[in-house]
Amino acid sequence: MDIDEPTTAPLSTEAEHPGPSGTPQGPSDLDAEAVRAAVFRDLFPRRFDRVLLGRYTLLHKLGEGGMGVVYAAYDDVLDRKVAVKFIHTRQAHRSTAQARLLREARAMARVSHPAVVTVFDAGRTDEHVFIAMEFVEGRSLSKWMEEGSHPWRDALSLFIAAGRGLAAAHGNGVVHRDFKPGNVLIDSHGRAKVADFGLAGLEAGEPRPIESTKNSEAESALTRTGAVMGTPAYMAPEQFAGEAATPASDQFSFCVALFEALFGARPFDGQSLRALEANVKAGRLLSPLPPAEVPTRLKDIVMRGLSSSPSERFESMEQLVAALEQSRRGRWQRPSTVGLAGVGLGSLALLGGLALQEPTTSPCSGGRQQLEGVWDPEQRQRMVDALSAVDRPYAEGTATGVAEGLSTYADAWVAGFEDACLATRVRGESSETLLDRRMGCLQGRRRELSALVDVLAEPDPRVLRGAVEAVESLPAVQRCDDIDYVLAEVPPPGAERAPAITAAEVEISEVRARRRAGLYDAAATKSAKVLEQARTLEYRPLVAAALVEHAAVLEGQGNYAEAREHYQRAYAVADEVGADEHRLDAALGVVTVTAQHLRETDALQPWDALAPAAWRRIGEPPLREADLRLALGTGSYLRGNLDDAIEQLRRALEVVMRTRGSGLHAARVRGQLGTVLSDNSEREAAEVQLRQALDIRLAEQGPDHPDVAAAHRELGTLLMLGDDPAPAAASLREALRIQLEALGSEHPEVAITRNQLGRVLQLQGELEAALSELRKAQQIAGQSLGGEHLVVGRLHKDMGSVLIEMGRIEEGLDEHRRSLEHMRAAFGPEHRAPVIVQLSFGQALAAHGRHAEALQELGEARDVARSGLGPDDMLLGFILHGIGRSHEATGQLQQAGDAYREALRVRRAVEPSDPAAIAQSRAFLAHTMARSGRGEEALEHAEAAMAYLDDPDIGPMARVAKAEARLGMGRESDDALAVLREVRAATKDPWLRARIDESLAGPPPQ
Amino acid sequence: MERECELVDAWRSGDEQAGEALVEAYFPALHRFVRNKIDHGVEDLIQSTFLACLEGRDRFEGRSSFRAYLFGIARHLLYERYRKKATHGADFVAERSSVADLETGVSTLVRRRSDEEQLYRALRCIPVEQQLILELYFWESMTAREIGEVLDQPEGSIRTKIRRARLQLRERLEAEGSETFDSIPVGGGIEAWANSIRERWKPPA
Repeated sequence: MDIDEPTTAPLSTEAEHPGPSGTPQGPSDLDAEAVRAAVFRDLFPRRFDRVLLGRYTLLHKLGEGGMGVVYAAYDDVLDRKVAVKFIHTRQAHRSTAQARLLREARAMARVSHPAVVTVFDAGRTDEHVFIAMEFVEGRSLSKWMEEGSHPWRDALSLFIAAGRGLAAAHGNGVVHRDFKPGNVLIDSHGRAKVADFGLAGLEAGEPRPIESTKNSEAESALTRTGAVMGTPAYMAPEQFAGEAATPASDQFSFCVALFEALFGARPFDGQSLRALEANVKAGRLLSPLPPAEVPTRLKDIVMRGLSSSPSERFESMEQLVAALEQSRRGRWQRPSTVGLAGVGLGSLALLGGLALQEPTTSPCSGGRQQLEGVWDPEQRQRMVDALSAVDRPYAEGTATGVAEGLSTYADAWVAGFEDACLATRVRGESSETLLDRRMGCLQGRRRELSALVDVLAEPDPRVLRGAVEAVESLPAVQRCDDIDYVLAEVPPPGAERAPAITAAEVEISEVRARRRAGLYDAAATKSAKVLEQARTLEYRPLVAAALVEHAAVLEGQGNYAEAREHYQRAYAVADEVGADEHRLDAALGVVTVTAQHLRETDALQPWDALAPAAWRRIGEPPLREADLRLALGTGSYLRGNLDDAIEQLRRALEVVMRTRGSGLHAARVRGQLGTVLSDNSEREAAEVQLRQALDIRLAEQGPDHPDVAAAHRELGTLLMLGDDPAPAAASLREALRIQLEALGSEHPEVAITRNQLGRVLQLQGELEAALSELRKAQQIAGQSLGGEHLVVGRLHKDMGSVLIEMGRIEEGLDEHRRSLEHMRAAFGPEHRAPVIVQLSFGQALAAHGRHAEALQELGEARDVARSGLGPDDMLLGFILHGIGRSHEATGQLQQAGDAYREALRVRRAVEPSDPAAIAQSRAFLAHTMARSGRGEEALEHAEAAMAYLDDPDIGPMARVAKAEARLGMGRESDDALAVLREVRAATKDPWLRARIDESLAGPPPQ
Repeated sequence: MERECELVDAWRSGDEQAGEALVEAYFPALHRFVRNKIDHGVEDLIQSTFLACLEGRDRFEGRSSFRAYLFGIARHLLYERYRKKATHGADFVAERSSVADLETGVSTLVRRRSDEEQLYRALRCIPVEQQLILELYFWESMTAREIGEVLDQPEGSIRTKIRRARLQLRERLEAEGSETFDSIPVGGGIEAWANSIRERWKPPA
């Protein structure tokens, strides 16, 4: 062996290669376990003994001050990090002090403002009051000031924001009492937040005049944080005099801090507390003022706030803040200092009118103007006229609804525009770069709106049909407020290519509008062209966008394989250039097309893992969570993992209802959830979901929309499980009518509907018609989906079943065999789909007396179901009943009894339990027992099953079993024989007739 | 590596689940590494390793693997302990001192097969550095580069030392008159042996 390198590839840690679970455990393993337990206990003590405070788990100490200790903590209920401040209260005043603190904290909890650290909750322990508040990642304003001199404008921006927070608190009747730079936090986005409202001076009981503490401790309070009643360096003269803090004293403190930030020194000198107090009370400012580049106007405002007499200060914090804003506005209106140079082309155009406006109007009210020609009264009228002109009974209603939807969207856009502008230009919370990005995001939304309005103004019945969905799927304006989202967007490229790129982006918006309206063919021509353009421009983010859009159009057209290929390419490009939103779009597209349409289990990987990762990468926005969970749930459904599918879809529905309310998004999730629930034997719950989905769609999309057709079909498929096939047939016929009209006769959706219709016709006994539908479906599916598609496999099975019922046994069995091969190839042998086919194959064989072959197939299905689906899957129950029946038919009572007994055990274990199914197993088990001479046991089971006398699958067998038990026990044989004859005459089940004939022919074999 | 960095970061900012995931992943290897080198305080040393890793994450930038970084910390702590312990006798020199000299009561870990036990004993009798190199090379399948990172030595000299350590181990076994060593040919056999130990030391699932 060459020892320079290991001959095998380096093995990684056990995390990636978990050991076999059956490894023998010797003493060394136990030793390892003990060490392991000790390590975990010491490293993660909270896992074993968590420091809990109600719903909060304390994580670690953040800091300690005169007022108490602050911990980082975790809020287990709302699943978020919080800061918890403990305030020590002294024994003497404990209960009153605590009550006051709690009252104060609860008052604070009412104040909700971006520049105020939000208080969530307050409570008490023995010695402390604790306050849970927003966790702010960042540093304090005092740290920021210590970092060295900052331009006065930056300081002013932070103070204006903090001042707004103070004003908001005052508006809620809360006074800060201890405003100072140490109580203002600057978060990681550079936003100022004021903390610790109303707490100072409360911990010791009633506020006391400072005079009463003439000792060195009070002197040192000058610098100590959280002093007895505020921090003297920032205290107003009236506070020194022992008066209670007021909004006016807060204003004074605020101005001391602002002065300090602007001039680099506090306004009142004081080597001692006494000297300070004297200077403050006399209004003796530092003289001369430290040299600083501060406009006189701003200095005057600060001086007014520092007036000794509260009445000479500003009337309120609000007025002070307004004055500060005014002082800043005077400068930024001059373009030379606005810094517009950093604003990209797009936002320059948007803000163009701004600097020219009169100072009396709000600087940020230009949003509405930007929508002129996009969505204004004139455009609205044009669109409503065009939509109403379509010859459909619901045209006018839809037109009005769509107009309302677009107006709401436009209002949100204007509000978003104003907020983005105010945040930077007035409140000073965010940077020019951020404004630039937010405006870029908003401009994209405006483009989407404009393109859609143009498409909606085309008088076309198909446009009318797609209008509501198109409006609902406009990208949310609110996401432009999401700083992470807008900053994550790929920055625009060099200026020389910009116009061509913008033009291509506009075209993509137009394609999207057409696709959203359901005009797939028109969209496809254009999307292919835009994709070509994007490639020529060699701008990768644009290529990613164009690929995603082209894929979506192909998906709409039903070109699923090609659609997936484009989504995959889109993913690769988006991944490469860091276009995170498109990466999520692409991954979701692959999962959806694969799970919903192509139905290829193997092809789900790794996309169903990449999609959640992509979602997490963009900060887990709730608006996309529903899309993600819908796709993942659909994937789990395809995999046959029903529990997981239901869980994902329920959570998707929850998110949708929370973020968007009941609408088309909810309908989509409900439709899928209903289908999965139906497969999980939860018929009633399924029907509720499917009917709601249909109702929403009918109301929103009108009666002719292809999505309404799909909803009809899903409901029809479910109704087939009921006793009467007629309503199922009606739903499916309606679905087919819509689809033929809207999608044409060759669309794969039509194949699926014809498939279901064929099944329902079979139930109605119209076998020729059923076979004809299934053949048509087979032909369409083979062409549009390809011969490998699972729908093709299912159609083989369904045709087989019809053929057998027609008496064309060999042909029918042949179709079953093909179907089974197909399903195994598509899903792998251990999936429920091939098991279902094999069950149906076995049942068909048994129905024609070919019990040996039936037992062969059913036995195989049983083994696969036991190992692949688990021992309590409801499918296993059906299979075992088939086995039992074939055994009985061949006189093997013992084996039959075993099968029914296992079926009973399985059905008792299935969740949710189905009492009818349990009764059925008991009836059949009773029958074998009665025939084997175990009358007592047989009677017990049969009696239990009699509760379902009206059920055609249970009642007759229960009666037969009971009668046979009585016959076997030699009791009341005339009555029993009469029952047997009666059931024989009534039943349509030849198998049961044969069993009764056996009894009537003679005594059961002993 | 990126994932480990994320876990360490998350742990540092209070996410104990991340911490648990990290410890869960690296405990077995670390335990294997420490257990036959000291006679008591195995858990303390493992803990200290994770805590040191938690405090000094910046230092694993540029390493070829997270575990090389982690083992490097463990090795430092181990040497520190040996140095303290060796004050009364001869000084601790990694190239010369063996575990058998330093720690009197290292438990006999695997008793199932005497040939294995002989090998463990032999490993504890060769110099600590050689023991370390062989175990990392065979049990952890580390590359020479990774071992170099653990020992703070250049890759090239590690390659030479691997060769020398193997010879030393062989000599040691022969000196003890081991019959088994001959039956384990110096080829794939020692690999198989190493793998069998590794398999056996996995924690219960």
